[in-house]
Amino acid sequence: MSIKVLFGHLGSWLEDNWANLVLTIGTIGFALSGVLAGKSEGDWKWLYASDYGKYFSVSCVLSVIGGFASWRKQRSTSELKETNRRMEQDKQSYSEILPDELWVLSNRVLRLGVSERISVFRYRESESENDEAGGLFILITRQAQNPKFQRPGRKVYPEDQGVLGAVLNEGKMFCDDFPDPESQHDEYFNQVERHLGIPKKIAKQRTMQARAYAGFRINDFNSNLAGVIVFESTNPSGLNIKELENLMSGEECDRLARLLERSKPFEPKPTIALMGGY
Amino acid sequence: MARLSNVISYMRYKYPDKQSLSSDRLKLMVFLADWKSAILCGKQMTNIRWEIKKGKLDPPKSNNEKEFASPKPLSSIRYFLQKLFGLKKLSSEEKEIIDFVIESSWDKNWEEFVQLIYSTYPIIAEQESAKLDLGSMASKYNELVRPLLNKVGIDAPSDTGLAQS
Repeated sequence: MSIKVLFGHLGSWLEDNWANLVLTIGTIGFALSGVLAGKSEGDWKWLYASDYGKYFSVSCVLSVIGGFASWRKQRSTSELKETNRRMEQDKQSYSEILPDELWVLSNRVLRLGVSERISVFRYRESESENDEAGGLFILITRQAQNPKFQRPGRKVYPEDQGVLGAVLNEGKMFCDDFPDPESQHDEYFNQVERHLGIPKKIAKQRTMQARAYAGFRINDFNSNLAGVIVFESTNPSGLNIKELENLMSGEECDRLARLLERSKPFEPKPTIALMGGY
Repeated sequence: MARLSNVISYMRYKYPDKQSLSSDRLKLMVFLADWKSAILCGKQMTNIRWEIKKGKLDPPKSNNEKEFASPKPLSSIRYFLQKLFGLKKLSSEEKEIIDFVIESSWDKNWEEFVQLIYSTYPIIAEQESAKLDLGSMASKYNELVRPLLNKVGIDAPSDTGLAQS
């Protein structure tokens, strides 16, 4: 180890531990100055020959041990903080995997515009012993160029309504040519209720009144339902079903399944809050 | 609506492990109290305008910071004196909600506590940066989301009495 590196380590150590070092030296110096005040110069026999010299020596040793222990403790705390920071970074990275994938899918692969949106939902099965309890879908991430469409909505969705319900039962669904919600307001919500099974009251609260929908099942490697991907457009001819079908029957579906699996531990879990009473 | 300083004083007075109650934890407990109050009463307990900034929950700066950072013993003593002289600064309902917040969170370590906070509906249902309207989010939560969660067999704890109301 070169002198330069050695001084580098020393400087770094001093930077982290100067407070402990100063405290330890200060404590010893403070005690020593009191003792020396009553002693003649050069006479060090008192240090081992007298009682107060022994007390002083023991105090010095204790002070050094305390300083060392404090330094060790501080070091382990710093290491713990560093580990936490890295874990937080990992968490952040993992939580961005799926949104990044949807961004690429939307902007580079499908080249969707401001009228479109892609959402990925995780399916959560019932924990109830009642077979009729059913499951629900939780919105994991969403990609849209239009910030209004990017809003997460109610986040938790029933399994028997809308595109999600249809995909759960049939594996995929495609539905387009809904009327213009602006000019044919009532007719639009009538059709949404009729074709998608979404009550008007709920449909009116949605962040996007789409006119074309496509949904596909995402299976995990055991062929169990992991989630659903939904494509929406406010343009009745905004979705190319052939292109989407090709995409979702190939590697893209496997990739999404893998990403859903990886990001699972880092996803928000509304159930934790509910079980906690919130 | 309760004054933030009174809520903090009561929390500090009642919190079992007073030494470990940091100002960060206190802030998040006030958020839980606001959210619980919104679920039960349709409005938050304090007048803090909560925001999410880059995915992190934060009360706006300004005077709130001073309240959270006020000396712990003074805050607790203040509540004790209020109690001693019979000055009712918080309603029994507000106290009940704060008691629930303390009871449901004090034994959680920091990681568990933060996980609880970041699993609450206002945070998971909002974007990376947003101002939270807890009252309207609570009505959406009670009407649309909670029944769904209950339906799949996840029930709120019943031993609190508050949670089911």
